[in-house]
This record gives sequence, C-alpha cells and structure tokens, in this order.
Amino acid sequence: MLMPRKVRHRKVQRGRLTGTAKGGTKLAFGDYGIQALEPGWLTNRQIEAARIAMTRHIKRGGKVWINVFPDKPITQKPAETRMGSGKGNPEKWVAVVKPGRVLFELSGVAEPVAREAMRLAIHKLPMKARFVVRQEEA
Amino acid sequence: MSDVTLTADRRSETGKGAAGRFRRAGRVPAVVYGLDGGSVPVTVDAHELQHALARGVNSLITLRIDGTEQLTMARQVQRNPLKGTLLHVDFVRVRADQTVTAEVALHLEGEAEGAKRGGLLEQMLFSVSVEAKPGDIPAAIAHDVSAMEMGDQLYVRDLAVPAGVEIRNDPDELVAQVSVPRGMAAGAEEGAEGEAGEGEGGEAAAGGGGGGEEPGGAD
Repeated sequence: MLMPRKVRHRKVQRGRLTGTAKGGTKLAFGDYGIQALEPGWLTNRQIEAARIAMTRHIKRGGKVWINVFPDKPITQKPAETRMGSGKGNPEKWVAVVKPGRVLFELSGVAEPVAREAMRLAIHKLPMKARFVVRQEEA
Repeated sequence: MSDVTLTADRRSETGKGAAGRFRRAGRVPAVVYGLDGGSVPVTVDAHELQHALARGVNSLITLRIDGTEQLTMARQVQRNPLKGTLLHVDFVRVRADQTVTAEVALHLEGEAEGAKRGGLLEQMLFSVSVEAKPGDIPAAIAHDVSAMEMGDQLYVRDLAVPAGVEIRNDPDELVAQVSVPRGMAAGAEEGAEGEAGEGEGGEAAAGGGGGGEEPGGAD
C-alpha cells in the first residue's frame, strides 16, 4: 500500500478543496487515463483497489502508472470517545485530488480493453471520474 | 501563405476579472508578441479560434489588429482541464522567411514485431521541438515501428523529418522501446535454467529462447 516512508509532521490540518487542478491535467506517460471530475481525498486503499481492478482486467501486457501519491495523514478518534484530549491518531493516508487531475494512466493495450479496465477502476474511486484518451493539441 | 485570418480586438483591460468578462462574452483573451512589435493584449472570437486551432496547433494564423495584418502562430494554448474551453492563447509573430521553433507531435505507426510476440512498446517522447520556416513545419512526425523487435530502442536521431526541418532535441534521447514484460523475462530465465539441467533436449529449447533475445542484444 502506498504511504510515505517518513514525514515531517505526523498530523496535519484538513485544508480546503477549492478550484481545479493546476497541474497533472494531461496524460504524461500512457495513451489512456482516468481524470477526476470532482474534488476529494483518495485513500491508499482506494488507489490500490483501482490498480488491482485495472491490472486484473488487462491480464497480460500493458503498463499502469499511478500519478497521485497519498502523502496526507488523516486522523480519527476511537469510537465512543469523549471529545477533547487532543487530536486523534493517524489512521489512513490520502492524496488530495482536485477536478481535472489525471489519476491513473495506462498504455500497451487496445482502447476497448483500456476503457473497460478503467471503468472498473473508476468504480473504486470516491469521486466522479472519466476515461480520457491522448490526443494532439497544445 | 496563412491558413486562417482572424480579427483581433485590442484590449486595454487585463487581469482575471476582465479576462472572465471577455470569456463570458464569447471572446478569448490573448497576447501577441515577437519580432519587433512589442507585446499587444488582444481578444479573439472563441468559436473562430477553436476552429483555427483544430486545423493544427502549428498552423499559421493571420491576425487583423486595427486594420493591420500580422502573421502569427499560436505558441501556448491554455485550456480549462475539464471543459476544454480556451482560456488564453499566446500568439507569436513570425516571418515566412525566418525559421521558428515549434513543438510537433510524434506518431508511432504500425505494430512492433516485438509487441506481437508479447513485448510492450513504450513511448517516452510524444513531441519533438523542431526548427523550420513557418510554412514547412509538419503537422506531425510519423515513424514506422513495425520492424522493432523485442528490446529494440528508437532514438531521436533515427527519426526522419522532411527537408528544411531540423529537430532540436538531443539526438540520443530515447523515443520508444520494446520492453520485455517482467513476468515474461522471469519465465524465460526459469525455463532456461530448468532446461539446462534436463540435458540435450532442453538445450535445443534454450537455444530457441536465446534466439528470441538476440535482436535486443544486437541493438
């Protein structure tokens, strides 16, 4: 599962998810990709689930790129705990995703296979996303 | 000489507020610069510009500003990542007899021989920077990869370009390669080891496996 090897701060504030992605909005490596259409937090478990869905469908051949990394720790207080007593414990890692961000890329397979693999992967994601194909254009 | 002629209005307002107003009114904020004319902020009709850019990113566009015509090329096109609508365009003035630098898309055509045998054709470079006269810039550079075997690599120096066009990228830059999938490589090694232990019958098969790897080694 993806997570940072070491971090400067164990707990961070939640932040705001406004606007659209500033970078990583175009395909950089592969011929096909999944582009987020909504903002959200993508956990390392969801990334892994989507990756497995894609690689199992394409079976042999093809290459998958994961363009986001879950580097933000999310804390949770234990169940049935009274409020106070400080911030909760780090429980999961998320990648902060803004609309337009290309999350995964794929190459080396035919378009119908890539489309189906990515459709399955999109079902593992917590936000709306779409399948994108490389096209010439500045 | 030019493919398209667009009428551009000079704008005095700049900044995101004004840019938003222009976009809502169906115009795209743009800037024209290059040669000796200085930088001129303008707006162009979004629909017409969209059509002009659809003919090719490096197509020549004549801008009519205040009655004077200027030959330009779109150098940087900014789009909304979700809707694809045009946000801003940089037009650079060009002269038909002077070379300019432009980014040209790179197309790999055909199915690599190595890919048919289970390899993976990986493309590392999707566009190259070329220097040519504005009229000579190709829409795309195509290269046939059907002869590429497993392990073969394609470099910038191997690309064929039309006369009058010069590629500015490093000649040793890797464009594409046919890589051997990890599972396949491991399987081949295991097979070779197992067969070596088995004796003569195995050797023949291992020889066949070695033949498969030869093209990669030859390159």
